[in-house]
Order: sequence, then structure tokens, then C-alpha cells
Amino acid sequence: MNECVLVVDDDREIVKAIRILLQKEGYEVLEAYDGLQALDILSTRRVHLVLIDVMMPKLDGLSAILKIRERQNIPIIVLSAKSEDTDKVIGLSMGADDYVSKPYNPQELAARVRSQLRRYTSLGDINAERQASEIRNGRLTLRTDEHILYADGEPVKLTATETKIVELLMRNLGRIFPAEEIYRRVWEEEAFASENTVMVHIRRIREKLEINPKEPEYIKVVWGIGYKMEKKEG
Amino acid sequence: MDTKWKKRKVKLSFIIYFLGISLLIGSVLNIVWLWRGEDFSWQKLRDTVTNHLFAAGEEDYQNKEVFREEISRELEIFLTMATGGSISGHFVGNAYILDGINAMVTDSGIIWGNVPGNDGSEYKIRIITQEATTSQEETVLEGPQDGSSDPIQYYKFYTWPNDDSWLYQDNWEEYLERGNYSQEQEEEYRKKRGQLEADWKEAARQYHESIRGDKNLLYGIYNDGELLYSNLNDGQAEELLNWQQLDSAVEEGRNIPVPYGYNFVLYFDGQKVSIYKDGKAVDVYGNGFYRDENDWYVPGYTNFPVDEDYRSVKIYMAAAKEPVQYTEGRYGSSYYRLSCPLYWMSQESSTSSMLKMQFLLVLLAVSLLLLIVAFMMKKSRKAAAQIISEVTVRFWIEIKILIWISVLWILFGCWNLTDGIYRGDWYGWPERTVASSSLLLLFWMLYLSVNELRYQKGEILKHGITAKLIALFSIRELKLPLAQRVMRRNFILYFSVVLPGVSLLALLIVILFQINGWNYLSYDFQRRFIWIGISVFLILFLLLLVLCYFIGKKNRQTVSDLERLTDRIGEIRNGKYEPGEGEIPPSDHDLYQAMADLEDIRSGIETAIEEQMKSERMKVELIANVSHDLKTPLTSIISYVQILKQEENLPEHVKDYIKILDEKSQRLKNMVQDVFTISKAASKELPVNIEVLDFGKLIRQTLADMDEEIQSSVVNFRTNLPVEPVMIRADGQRMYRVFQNLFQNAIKYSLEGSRVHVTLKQDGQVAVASVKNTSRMELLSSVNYAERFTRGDESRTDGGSGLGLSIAQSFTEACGGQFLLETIADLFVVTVSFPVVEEENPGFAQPELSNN
Repeated sequence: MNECVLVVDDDREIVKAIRILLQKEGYEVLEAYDGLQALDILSTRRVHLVLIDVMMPKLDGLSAILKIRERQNIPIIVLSAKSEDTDKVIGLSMGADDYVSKPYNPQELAARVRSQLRRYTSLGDINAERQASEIRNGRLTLRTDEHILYADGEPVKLTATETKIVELLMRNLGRIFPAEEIYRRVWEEEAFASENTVMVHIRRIREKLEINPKEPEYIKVVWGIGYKMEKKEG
Repeated sequence: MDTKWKKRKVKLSFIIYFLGISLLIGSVLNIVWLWRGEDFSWQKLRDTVTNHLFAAGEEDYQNKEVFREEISRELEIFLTMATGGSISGHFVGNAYILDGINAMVTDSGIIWGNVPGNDGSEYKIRIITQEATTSQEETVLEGPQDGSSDPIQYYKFYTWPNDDSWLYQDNWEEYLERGNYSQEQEEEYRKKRGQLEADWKEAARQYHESIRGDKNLLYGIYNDGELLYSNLNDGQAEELLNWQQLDSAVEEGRNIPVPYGYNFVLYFDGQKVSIYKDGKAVDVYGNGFYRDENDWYVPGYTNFPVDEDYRSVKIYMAAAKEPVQYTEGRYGSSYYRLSCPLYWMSQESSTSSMLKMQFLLVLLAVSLLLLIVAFMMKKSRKAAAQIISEVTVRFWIEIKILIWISVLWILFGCWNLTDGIYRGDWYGWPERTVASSSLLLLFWMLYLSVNELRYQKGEILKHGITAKLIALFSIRELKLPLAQRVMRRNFILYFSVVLPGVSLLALLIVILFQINGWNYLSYDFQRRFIWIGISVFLILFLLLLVLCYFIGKKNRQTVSDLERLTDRIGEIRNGKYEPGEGEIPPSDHDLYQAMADLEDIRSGIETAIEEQMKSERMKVELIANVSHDLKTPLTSIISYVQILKQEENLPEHVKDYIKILDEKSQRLKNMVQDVFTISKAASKELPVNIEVLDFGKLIRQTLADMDEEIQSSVVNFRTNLPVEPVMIRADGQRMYRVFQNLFQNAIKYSLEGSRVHVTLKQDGQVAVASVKNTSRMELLSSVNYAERFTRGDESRTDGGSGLGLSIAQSFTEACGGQFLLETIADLFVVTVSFPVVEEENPGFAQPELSNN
């Protein structure tokens, strides 16, 4: 059975474009053009994920999210032309799981949908399955006994050095490591011209585990200080 | 209803307070005087209170001053009588009674006899007086003239030509010799003098006759060992009046004997007076100097010696312990009461002072009661005091000062007149009334003044001619321009130096004249000149001192205002447009106008800036809205381009078109984003997250991040970055964007194969990073490359939005750094500098959050 995605936007062309995109990915797509319609569909059909615009007639996106969250905890991705940080924060605090600003990159959007659905459907009740040898951060899970990193439940192919870096950062979520320290602890050598080496690795890791490597969510550069892994909910 | 009662209560409370205080002061003063009238001491005070209140009439009249006066007066008269002098001019008893014989003394001569008192009492007195004013010849009046029940025994009027009054004097013989009179005249004068002396003797005899019946006072008068006058009976005289015995008693310090019923004895032995009371010697002379009427007014003090004439006189006087009323005449026919001063004295003192004391104590109690009530009505009383202060404060202060001065002056006069608070008992009650009422007046004046000070402190000085004049003056002064005002004040200051100087100089000259004895000016003139000069000098000096003080105050005020003004200007210059802390000074300050004007300018700027900010915000909003509106269709375009790209079986040229569409739509997307960012940065609404970071590391990270781009470019990067950290305060994310833009710019516009130099160095307290590259195209000095939408390539066919440098500049400035762009020939130099942070901390330990 295919997962069912509800796309809500007052711009019918965008809805159609997303529908084409997602149908190609193999999802069943339902369409709505305002908040009220979306709520109607949600009350009659079983939906696995909602993609919703913020600014819509009748019932705006944020209010609709609040209504949906009263009954369902399905993943909700907000689509919005507002790209300010504050707008993102508001959207996420209203109960959305992810935020994609317009104009979006279609591939990125598809990847985010996939990620959210996988976490919702295949991982199910995440907390119950938690194991002692696991470090979990958002969509990432590190099995320390196997030294394998999973993103959305799928193993990420990392080299040995990359795994070491990820392990260091994941064991110290939120802590900022200067390049020298990372170099010393991963390569176990005295740091020399470490910035470039570390940065290259960081970039490669990002490309492998971030949905949009240009706007990384997990592995972040703290400019002028060092590198860190952002702590995520869930 | 309620308020009416309240108003009444206020009035009532003050009336009660007023009465209470007045009665208290009056009664306390009078009680004190009453006590003091009897030689104040605490022992006596207690006795007096018990006597006055519980044992009326027990009090000893001999302790009173009137008694002392009576005794000393009698002694004086007796001494005169013993030596044959004139006893006229003595007033015995109360001088107040003089009014009653007014008609009889006007025609002058010697008058003496019993005269009815006009105070309604039975008090009678002997008066012997004399005045030589009329030219009438000798007139003799005898017997009662007005048919009153009190017989006047004897009148005899002598009138003398005015120029003969010397005959009365003790040294009449000197006058006689000096007068160069003829034998006949001299005889005549001698005869007249003899007549006079005979009359005096007769007067003395008459006086003796009139008082001898009053056995309350016994006396014996000797001269040259001969007993002249005495009212002791024969047995007593034989027993007591032996002057040899008396003298030896005095010499040996023995008690002087008195008849039964008498407890006071005075003996004059020709040298001094000895007094015994109740068998104990009384200290008459104290330290030997006569000072005031507190002492016994008798001769024998060092400064009040006994006359030569009186050396041979001996006088014995005894006073009854309890005086009684004596009568004279034949019982049944002519019968009258003698005037017995000691009797009346004792009566008066015991009854009236007791009554008085009781009355005063009642008054005291009433006043205390009233005061308690008044203090219970504290609130209303305060309200009343406030109302009173509001009324009194309206009077001119000058008038108040005048009133004070005159009252004090009058009081001072009164004080001298009554010689302090009069100690007499019945005597001098008018003075006492004056004294107590003036003290009351003083108290209430003090009350009013203090009251005013308490409630109307700031107001007092505002009501008055001086204040009005000053106000008038300052209003006129304010109309003058500032320079003229200051000039005028300076004039006064000059004068304050010059005028006293000149007067001092003049004084010095005159003093020099005097010292050198140059008599060009009269001595009198010089003296007057010096005194006038000194006073003028002092007055001027004081006046100018006061003026200088006020001018100094004003100047200080002006200077402090000036300081505030300059501070304010500095603040405004530094961009602080909020209203200042200090208010604009009052309009009588010199710089009021300037400060008010500045305030206007400030508020003008403030409004302008506010409006500018508002329009800036509106612009940002507009751009935000526009970019949002652009984004929606752009989303569709990008989405469908993507779908098209995935379409298979398309002809090759269509795929090319799609590729172009894809690129341009991506570029459009970037441009929309940049435009939005730049408009935010320009309106200073860009949120920044300032923290301490290593500038060098930031540049290295950026370079590493862009490594691929750099490697694939046509230029080489040369870096010169210090290994040690260079800590600055900035937003790392924003600064990354700055250097990303700078490097992209260098890659995009550099000459193929040229080098891009990236350096960082610490220059004192400033960290300076620079990016230098050689431009592929010619750089025009007329172009500002940091301007928005300016590009090296005017055709605008490359991928940039033309906003890269502009964004870099805005971001740097938003983080508090300096962004400088220079072009030297084909060299393109950008320097980004930040102040270095002093403390050597790990940098990321204390990230600091702040907006803008």
C-alpha cells in the first residue's frame, strides 16, 4: 500500500507540480486548496503526511496545523514563502515537523517527504526500540557497537575517518570542536593545517547525511570557532 | 454638614489653643513674679505656696520689699529730723496716692497731713512736699477745706521768689557770701533762713506728732546724746533707749532688746545700721557695696557712706510682729484712725496675694485644661495653623521685619523703664501688665513667624517690595540680549572693586592729612569725613558683596547650564535623540532660550529620524511583500522546470531550453533572496548574533569551505593568516557570508592566472583582514563598487545579482566592523576591520546574544 500525502496550497499549479513530483516517487497524493478543505479530507481519509502552505484563504496553514494536531500526530511539512528564521520557529513550534521555504528545490522536498514518512511509518514508536548502544539525534542514529550511522533508518555509507568524526560529534551533541581538536582526536596526530582537512571531511559527511547539504541541519560550522552537531528533538 | 463642622472645629481648636497658651504664659509669669516679690528661694517658694493656699495671713510682711522701703524711708526722714533739715520731698507709702492731693500741691509750699487715698481703701498717708513756683506772698491755710470727714490737720504755704531757692540748700551760706548782698539784705536772708529752719523743725515736730500714735513702729531719735523724738512710753524708753548700752551691744554683737510684741529692730549708731529680726542679726550690707533696691537702702555702704552731719545721730526703730490699727483722739468726739502703713502692709500682703495666688492657680489649671483639649485636636489645630500661615504670608516681609524691629525696640525700652520685671507686690502692677502683655505679644509674634517658616518656607521671600523689585528688574533684564546682560553684570563687578577702593583711598588720604597735621581741612571736617567715609565704605562694601554673591550665583548657574548645553549638543551629535534627563531650566536662566532652541532642534531631528525609520520600515515591508509575491510564481516555474527536466524523449534542443530555464530560474531565486536581505540590512533590521570568535579561523574555514570552487577557478589564492587567534566580536554566520561573497567576487572578476591575496594582521587594537585581487576588466575610479547592483560587468550576463559586495558591506557594518573598498589601478582591495577583544578566553565559552 502506498503512503498517502495531502498537499495543501491555494496555488493550484504548485499543488499539481508537487503531485507530479510525489506520484513519481510512488506516493498517493490528495489535494486541498485551503485549510478547511484539508481538515475535511483529513477527517474522511487516512493520510500519512501533510504538506501545507501558510498563507491560504479561509483557514491559514498555522491554524490548520493546530486543528490537525488536536487529533493526529502525522508528520506535517510547512511550505512557505516566508524564509525568515522567526517564521520557521513559529511554524515548528505550532506543531509542524519540518519547514521548507519557497521557492523550494523539488529534489529536496521529495527527500524531506521521504525522510519524514520513513521515520513515521517504518520506525514507528521510536522510543520503545531504543537500545543501549544507540545514540539518537533527530533522524540520525548511531550504533556505537557496529560504528554504523543510520539516517531515517537507512545506513549511511561513511568512511572510517568520517565515522570517527560523526561519532565524536554525536557523543558530544551541541559542543563546539575546533578543527585542531577534531584532528587530534580523529587522526591522533599533532594538528597541522588541520582546517582544510577537517573541512573537506565535514563537507563530505554533510553531503551524505544532510537532505540539503547547502543548508545543513545537523553538522554545522560555527564560523570562527569550530564545528558541532546540532541537537535535534525526537 | 460634615465639612461645616470641620471648619468650625478648625476655628475652635485655634481659639482654644490661643486662650490656653495666653493664659498659661500670663498665669505662670504672674505666679513667678508673686514668688519673686518675696525674695525668691526654693525654700520660700514651698513656704509661700503652703502659706498662700492653706494658711492665709500667716505670711510675714517684714520679708517684703515694701517693708524694707518703708523702714529705710523712715530712717532717712528720722535722720533729717535729727539734724534739723527739711523732710519735705519724701513720699511715704504708695506714690500712686499722689493723685488725691494733686489740687493741694499745685500751689506749692509745704503740705503735709492726712490725705484720703483714692484707691477706695482706708489707706491714709502723710505727705510732705514742697515746690516754689509762684510769686505769691505767704499764704496760710488752716483746717479742712472740703468738709470731708477726714480732717486735714495743717497746711502751710510758703512762696518764695524763684531766685531765692538757694536758701533751701545746705550750703546756703556760700550763696549768701557769693551774692555780695548788702548788710540789710543779708540780714533779711538770714532771717528768712531762720524762719525756714524753724518751719522745718515745726514740720518735723508735726510729723512726729502725726506718727507717734502708730505704735506699730517704735522709734527713738538722738542727736549729741539728747533724745529728740520718741514714741516709746516712758517705761520702755528708760529700759531700751540707752544709747551707750545699745552701742556696746552692737560692738559686742549682742542682741538689741525689743519690747514685747516686736520682733524687728534697727539701730543706727552714727556709723552703720544693725538690724535684728526675731533675735537674729540680718546681713544689711552684704559685700559692702550698694547695688540696687534689693539691698537695704540705708547709709553705711562703701559706696554710700554716712553723711558727716549724721555721725552724732543714733536712731532706734522697732517694728511690731503683728501690726494693728491705732486710733487717736477722744473716744466719743473727734476720733479717727491713724494711718498705719505697717498694718496695711501686713493686711494687704496676706489677703490680696493669697487671693491672687488662688486666682492665678485656677487660671493655670484652666489654661492647662485648654491646652490638653487643644493638643487633642491636633489635626484641626494644624489646619488652622496652615490657614493662618496662608494669611500672614501675604503681608510684605519688609513690614514684618519693621514690626519685629519696632516691637523689640519698644520692649527693650519698656524693659529699661520697669527695670526688669518689677519685683513689687502691689506696686507697679501696670508695669507688670505691660511686661506680661508684651511677653505674650512676643510669644504670638514668634508663633506666627515660626508658623510661617514651617508651612510657607518658600513663599515668605516672595511677598515683599524687594521681591517685586527684583522680579521687575529680572524681567527687564531678560529682555536684553545675553551679551548685554553679562556686560551689565560685569559692570557691577567692576564697581564692586572700584568703589570701595576709591572710598578707601579717599579715607587713606584724609587719614594721612590728619597724621601729618596738614590743616587744609578743618579737624571737624576730617573727623566727620572719616566716619562718614567708613560707614559709606562699609555699606557699599556690604551691598556690593551681596551683589557679587548673587552675580556669582547667576554665573555659576549659567556655567552649569552651559555645560549641560554643550553636553546636550555632544549627545545629539553622537546620535542620542531621546529627550535629555534634565528639564529645560526656568525661563529666568541666561541660557534658557538657547537650551529651548536646542530642544526644538533635537525634537525636530528626532521626528525626522522617526519618520525616516518609518519609511525605511515601510520600504522593507514593501520589498518583503514583493519578494514574497515573486517567490510564489517562481516556485511554480522551478517545480515545472524540474518536471520537464525529468521528462524523457525530448528533442535535444528542447533539453537545452530547459537547461537555460533552470539556470535562470535559480538565479532569479538567488536574486530575490539577496534583494530581501539587502533591504533588511539597509534598514538596520538585520538580526545579528554577536559572539567572540577567532577572525583568522573564520577566514580559514571559509576558504576551506570554498576549496572546491577555488581549486576549479582560474586564480590562485595566497593566504597570510596568523596562527595565533585574533579574537573579535561578530556574527560568525554573517561574516562567513561576507568572506564568501568577497572570495566569489575575486574568483569571478580576477584576471586569469592572477593571485588573490588574503591577509589578516593585527594592527594595534584593530584586526584588519584584506582581500586583494587583480581585476580582469579595467576598474573605473568613478564607480562605487559597493553600491547595490553595481557590477564589473556592465552587460550583467554573469551569474551574480550585483549585490554581493553590498551585502558584504552591510553585514560587516551590522556586526560592528568597518568595510573599506579601494581600487588602485587594476588592483581591487577590500579591507574588513574589527576591534580586537582583549580577554584571552576560549572564544566560544561565552557566546553573547544581541540583536542589531
